[in-house]
Amino acid sequence: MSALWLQVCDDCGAVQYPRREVCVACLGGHLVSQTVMAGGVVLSTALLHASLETETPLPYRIATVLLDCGPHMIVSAPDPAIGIGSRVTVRRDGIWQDGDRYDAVISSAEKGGASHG
Amino acid sequence: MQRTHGYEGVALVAPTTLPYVRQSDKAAPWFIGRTLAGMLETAGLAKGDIDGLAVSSFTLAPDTVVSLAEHFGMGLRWLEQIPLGGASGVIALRRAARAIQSGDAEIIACIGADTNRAGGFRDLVANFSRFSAEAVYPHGAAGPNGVFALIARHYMEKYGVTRADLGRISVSQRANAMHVPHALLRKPLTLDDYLAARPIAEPFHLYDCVMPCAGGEGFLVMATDRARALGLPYARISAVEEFHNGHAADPVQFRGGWDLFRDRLYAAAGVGPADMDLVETYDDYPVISLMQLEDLGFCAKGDGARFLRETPLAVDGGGLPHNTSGGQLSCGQAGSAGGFLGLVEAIRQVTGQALGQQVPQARRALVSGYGMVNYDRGLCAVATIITEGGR
Repeated sequence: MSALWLQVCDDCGAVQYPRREVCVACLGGHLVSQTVMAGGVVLSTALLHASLETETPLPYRIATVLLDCGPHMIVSAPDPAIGIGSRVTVRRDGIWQDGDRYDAVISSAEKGGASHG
Repeated sequence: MQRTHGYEGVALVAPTTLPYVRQSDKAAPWFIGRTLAGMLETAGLAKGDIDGLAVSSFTLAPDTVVSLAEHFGMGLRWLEQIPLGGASGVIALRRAARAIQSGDAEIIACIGADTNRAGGFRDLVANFSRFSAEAVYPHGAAGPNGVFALIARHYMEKYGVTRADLGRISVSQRANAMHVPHALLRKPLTLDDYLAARPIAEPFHLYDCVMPCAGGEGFLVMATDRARALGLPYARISAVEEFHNGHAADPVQFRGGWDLFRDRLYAAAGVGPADMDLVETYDDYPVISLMQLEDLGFCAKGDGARFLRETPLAVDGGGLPHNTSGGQLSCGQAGSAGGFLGLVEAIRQVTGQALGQQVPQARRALVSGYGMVNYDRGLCAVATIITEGGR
C-alpha cells in the first residue's frame, strides 16, 4: 500500500496538509513528518488551458482528493480516467516552484476491474 | 445572540470610482490618491477635513496605510488597513462606522485601489499566501482560476447547475455594463457567445473569468448630521455581518459562510431578501455569485439553477437587479477595488446617483463580499444591507 510523507500532530494525531506550524485541530506545536496512507477519493477535477508559468504542459488536469487519513489535497491528475468519485492514490512527484507537487493515480484495486463509469 | 448596538447615525457618502485601465506603470499610491481626490471633489471637502483612512491594496507593499499619510500630506487620527480582497469594502464600512459612532474619527475615507503592472498578476498569485505558494501553485500555476474551477465543477455536479445557467449571470451583467462608461468590457455578450468562448480552466471559459486591471473605488463615512449639513446624498447601514473560515470541514467549498449570519443580518435590518431593490454580489466567477444568492436566501440552497432560469438579473429585466454596474466580470478586477465595487455601486443606486442604469425607486440594497483564497477557497464572507438616507 502506498504512503505519503505528511505532518502528523504529536499531541492529537491529526494529519496536516498543507504544511503547518501548529496543529489545525489542537494548536499543538510538535508536528512530525511521517508516513500516512495515501488513498483517497476524488471530489472534483479541472482542466487548465492557461498557466502563469510557460513551462506548464497544457492542457493540465488537476483534482481535489479527500485523503482517507483526513486532509484534502489539490493534486495533478494527468490520467483523463480520473473523475469525481474515482478512488486514487496520491504520490509525491517532486518539487516545483516553491512547493511539493503531488499527483493522483487510479488505485490499483480499482484498475483491476472495478468499474467507475 | 443579541446585538446591543446598531449602526444608527452613520452616513455613507461620495461613492467614487477611479476609471479602470488594463495595465499601468503607476504605483498603488497613484490609484489610492487619485481615488481620494475624486471623493473629496464629489463631497466638496478638502483633504484636511479627512481624519481617518482605511485602505485595501495588494500592491501597496512595502508601504502601509501610514506611508500614505506622508505621501498625501495628511495628518490622521485613525488608520485601518484591510488586506482582505473581496471582503474589504464591507469590512472597511463596518470598522469605520464604529469609529464614527465612538467619536474616534469624524470623516473617514475608505478606499480599495490597486495598480496592475505587466507581470504583476503572476507575482501576486505566486506569492499570495504560504499555503497557495506551497500547495496550489505547483499544480499547474493557474492561480485562482484553477482553485475555483475545482469548486465550480463540484458545485455544478452536486446541484445540477449547467454552464448555460451560469452564463445568465455573465450575460445580464454585460447588459448592465453597456451603460457604464468606466466598464472595460462593454461589447454585447449573448448566451451563445458565453457558451462558445474558449476554455480557460474547465469548467470555466473566457466569460466566467474577470480581467485583472488597475483602478480604485472609495466612499466616505461620517455622521448623518454631518452629511446633511454638507448637503450630501447619503446611505444608511441597516445591518452588516462577517464570518471567516466558516464551514472549514467541507473538503470542497459549496457554501461560503453567509448562511452562518444570514438570519442575524436580516433580523437586524428588519427585512428579508424579498425586500431588496437590488443586490451586489462578489463576482470573481458567476458560480460564486450564485453561491451568495443561495446562501443569503434569495433562493433555497441547491435551487440556484432554477432561480437563474426564472429570475432576470439585468437592471431593466423586471426581476432582481444584480451587479447593476456590470460587476467585475464586465468592469474588470482592479485588485482590492473589486472588494469595493459592489458597495460603491449600491451607495450610488440607493442615493439616486447611478452612473449607468438607475434602478427605479431603489431604496434598499444588499451587498455581499467574499475574499482571500489562502489555499483552496475564499475564507471571508461578509454582507451589508444599506438603505437610502437622504438626498
